This record gives sequence, C-alpha cells and structure tokens, in this order.
Amino acid sequence: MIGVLNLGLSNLSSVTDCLARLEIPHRVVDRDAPGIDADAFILPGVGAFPAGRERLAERGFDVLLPRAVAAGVPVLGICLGMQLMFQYGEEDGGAEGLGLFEGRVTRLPDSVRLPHIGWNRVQPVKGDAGPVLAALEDEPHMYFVHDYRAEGLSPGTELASTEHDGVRFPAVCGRARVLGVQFHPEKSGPAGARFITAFARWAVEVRA
Amino acid sequence: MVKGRSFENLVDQGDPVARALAYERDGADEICMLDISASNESRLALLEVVRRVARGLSIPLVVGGGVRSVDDMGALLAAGADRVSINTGAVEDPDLITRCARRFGRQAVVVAIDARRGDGRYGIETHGARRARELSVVDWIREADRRGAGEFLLTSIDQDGRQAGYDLELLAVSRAATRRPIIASGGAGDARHVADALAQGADAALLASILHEGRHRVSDIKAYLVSRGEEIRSA
Repeated sequence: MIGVLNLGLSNLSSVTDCLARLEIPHRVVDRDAPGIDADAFILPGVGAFPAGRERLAERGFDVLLPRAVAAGVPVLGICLGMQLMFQYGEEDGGAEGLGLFEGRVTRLPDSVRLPHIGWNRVQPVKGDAGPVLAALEDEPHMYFVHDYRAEGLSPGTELASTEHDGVRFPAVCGRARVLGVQFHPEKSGPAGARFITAFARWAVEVRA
Repeated sequence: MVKGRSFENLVDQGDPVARALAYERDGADEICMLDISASNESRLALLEVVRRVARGLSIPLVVGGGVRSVDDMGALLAAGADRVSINTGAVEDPDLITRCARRFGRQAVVVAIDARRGDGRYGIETHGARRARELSVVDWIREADRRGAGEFLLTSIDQDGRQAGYDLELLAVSRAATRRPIIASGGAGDARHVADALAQGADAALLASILHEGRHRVSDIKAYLVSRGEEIRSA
C-alpha cells in the first residue's frame, strides 16, 4: 500500500489516477495521524515552494516524512515534492525545506527559456544506481514543467540528469530510501509508468 | 467533439475520451481540449469530460474554454487538467493572468491567442473567433508575458482547418515577442508543416483536423520528424 500525501495542491489526482491505471494499491493521506503506515509514501506537488512548505507543516507531513525516512520507509517526491526535500528553496521570497537532501532549489539561469515545459531526455549517471533507476536505462523522455532546479547536492545524490538549453540539472535525486524526481512520471506515458511500477515494486521488496 | 474551418462549419468528430486515448496510444505527447463555444455561450468547459479524459490519460492534458476566474481555472485543474488555457477571459481582464499565475504557478497558465491576419499586422479575436479586438498579437503577447503567462497557444484563424500549413509569419513575429514556449496551431496538413513550424521557433505543434479526419497518424508524423533529426520523444 502506497500512501499519497495530499498537499491540497492540484495534481493529486494525476498521481492517484496513474496508480489506479497501474493497479498499484494506494490511498490518499490528508494529514499525519497516529498509526499511519504504508509500504511507501509519494509526495506530489505543483506550485510555489513556500506555499508547499506551508502545506507540509499544516498537514503534519514535515513530521511524518522524516519519521518514515528514519524507519526505512521509501519515499518518492515528484516535482515540487522533490524540491521540498532539499534544505532551502529560493522561490517567492524563499523557505526552508525538509532537509532530506543536501542542497538548495534555485531558478534556472536567465540564459534558459522558461518555464521548461515538455518532454526531455533523462540520463542516469554511470554506475549501478539500483532497481528503480534501471527503469531509466534507455534514457527515456519524461514530461517536465518547472522553473526551478536543485543544486549543490552532496556527492552521489544526483542519480540522473536532464539538459535544457545547455544547462544540466538533476532529474532524479536519491539517498538511502528517499527518491525525488523533477519530472512527472505520472504524466510521462509508458516510460513514466515503468518508473512508477519499479518504485512500487522496490518499495514492497525493501520493506519485506 | 467538433472541428471546423476558421472556427466555423463545425463537424462532429466523435467521443473526445476515446479520441484522446487513441492519440496517446499512437504517440501524441500531449492532449489539448478546447471548448471553443464556451466563452460565446458563457459556460465553463465541460468538467465531467475533462475528468473522464484525465482519468485515462498518462500524458499531459491542456484544457481551455470559458475560463473567467481563478476558481474556473482551479476547477479545471482539479478535474485533471495539467495546464489551463485562457483566451477571452484574459483579454477582457488581463489581471486574471497574474492572479492565476500567482495561485497555480506561471507554468500552469497558457494564454491562448486566436490571430487573424489584418492590414500590416495580426489582430486578435475572442469568443471563439467571433469578436475582433483592438489589439495586435505582438502587443498582447508582450503584455500577457509581462503579466505572468507561462506559455502561448497561438492559433491562426486564417489557416485553421485548411491543412495548408501553419502561418509561419505569425509564428515569426510572435517568436520575436516572447521567450515563453509557443504551441503553434491552425493549418497543419502534413508532417512537413510541423517541421516548418518547429524550424520557425515553435516549441510544439498542435494537430487537429488532419488527425480527426484520419488523413495522418501521430506516429507517421513523428517518424518523419525523427528522420529529419528533430529531438522528440519517439512514438
């Protein structure tokens, strides 16, 4: 069972629709509560960083997520969900993130056409990055829609990257059982479905 | 689902849900659903249809038609749209672009422009190309960009449904007016037209009539683009 954390921002149904199509058991978690358990959590999100951070706190997810991570529960952050896992985001006046990853979230440079909207190739870094990243072996195109990217990651955290207008930035971040993706696997057709399926399968296996 | 020529002579083209899913299977990168009668008939695009299309799709969905308020946009996003296009509502209340961008992020706000070639410039029309406005395409693009548009969906009314190619001059003047992504729309007749639009600076190309009538398939058009060396997602 995957818990989908509901920030009250608009793309929750994209993720639950995707999980339903893939017949992956899941339920929506509206706020932290005693006894909440899941094989894994997914944190989707769209919108601005400070607004997302506020919702995290409002719903107790800023407590739930570090607790889950400490207990070895796999977590996947999508787009803003991934960005919120970093230490700081500069968007809209700036806000502290969850600090599950080292680094900060900054706007892509002015040399780049923004927003970065559309399909772009995701390239895993060399080396054995594990079973979830195996789903990206053929460097598939994934759907991106964002202005900000993560930077200043600790070594080994960037698991895959993407290039837009000559600037390369992290597309997949991972440390222990925390994963974050800048793209939207739930909207990335068959390649995205393979990624979500690999994550769900891995989550069940590592928890067994 | 309907499709016409220059927004008129609309012909029923079948069930939008089935069509959207079939195009996805054939390699479409995104589905765009526009309720072009919505503004004229003062109603919001059919939420229930959006919900049904979104539930089945695993690719992005852009929806437009009749958006007049932040709440209208919120309702479409909640129904499953990934990005929402605003046309008449933005022209009549340009601050709507800013309010929607502030609430949902600029990346979710697509400003749709219906352009008609005029005397020495391109003018814009609203209400599904039923009402001409005193505003040039270039001026409106600049203003909408400044107010928070994340992207433009640029339709040539003249070329719409004629399958004779996109209006490349319209694309060129628009490209020079903004760095935001532009989706070219109106006039695709074959794969070469799509390549021409991309070469003119369009970031994406919208196809309607030629697919609906079964004259071309998404997969064939993408195969042609790949053969030309375009960096696209293979179908």
